[in-house]
Amino acid sequence: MDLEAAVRKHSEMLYRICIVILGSEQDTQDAIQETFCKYLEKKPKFVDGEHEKAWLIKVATNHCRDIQRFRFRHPKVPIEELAGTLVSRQEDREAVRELLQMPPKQRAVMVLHYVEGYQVKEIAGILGITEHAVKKRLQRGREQFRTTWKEEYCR
Amino acid sequence: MSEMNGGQLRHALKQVHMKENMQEEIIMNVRTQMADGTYRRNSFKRNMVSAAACLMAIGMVSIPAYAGYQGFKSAITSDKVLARMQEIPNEEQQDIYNMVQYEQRSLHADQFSREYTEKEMSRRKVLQQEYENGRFPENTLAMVENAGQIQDYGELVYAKDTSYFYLPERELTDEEILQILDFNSTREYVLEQNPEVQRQKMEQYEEAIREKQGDGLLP
Repeated sequence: MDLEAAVRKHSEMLYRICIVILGSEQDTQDAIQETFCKYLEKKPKFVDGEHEKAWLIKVATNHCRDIQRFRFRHPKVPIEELAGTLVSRQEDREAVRELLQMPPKQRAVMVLHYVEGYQVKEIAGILGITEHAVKKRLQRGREQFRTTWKEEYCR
Repeated sequence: MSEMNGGQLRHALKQVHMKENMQEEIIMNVRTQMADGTYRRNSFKRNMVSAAACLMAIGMVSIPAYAGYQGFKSAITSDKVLARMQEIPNEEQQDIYNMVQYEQRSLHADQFSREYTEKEMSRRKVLQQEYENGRFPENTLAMVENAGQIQDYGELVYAKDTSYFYLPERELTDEEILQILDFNSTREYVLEQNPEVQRQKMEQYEEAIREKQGDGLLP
């Protein structure tokens, strides 16, 4: 397994997903590192690039979940501050801020669907949840966006 | 409407990039962890958790909660700390449980008014060990009901309504770090005692088993 090539190819994508779930740069780095450790340890055989990507996302989100549940978490920066650190444009910052205000499980589904382009069935497979749960989380996420964005942008 | 928002969200998130050098740090740290065995040791602990999970899930044996604490690297990692937690009066436990429930309902994760300094992080590691060996704070963490009650950040204080730790500008003292560790342990312990939380943990155990059986994506 070529660690360096895999990190160069996938770490930006994993970073986007993990930072949104964890809200902490250090926790995110921990999650990505553990993901690639597992990658080297398990040496999985992939059918194609998409399979590899989905495997990495699954492992990373599992690590995120473990970090949130059971481990010492690094201090989180306030959402406003984090959104400002991640993106510079005001509209982008608003979108990131709204996303970070959602429950972590909802954030993961929103990012996988809207940013990484996965369909409901694929997300269910990656996160190990039912398609119904994915749809519910997407629906709640959209509702949250609708109410807040409508107020701010449609006046 | 949702598509438009989806597009905006996609655009915003595509602007998010790792900080410079993070890729290099990850490659270096992964290589180090794999070479010096750090990752394997942690894997062993994770496997022990899964093994315990299997046993619990099929109901063949009952595993003391303490074993679960150890496996999950929870705040409760020693018998001395556990004994201390068991001395918390029921009323106080209920108050803490209500507070944690409120935090969860309002979706507040712990936040801090500033990052820990490197010195505080390293002190925390040392003090965590000492805490587990029975060194406890003399006082409990100072708390206020809402953040508006805080006059200044001169002292360590926790706002219940926002789950916010206000850290003083100066370095935290050992006593203050111990108070934070003790507070975290107390929350963990109180949560663990709740039947609903135990039910959720069982679900997590089952999920861990599924994960142990395979990552689900590999043929």
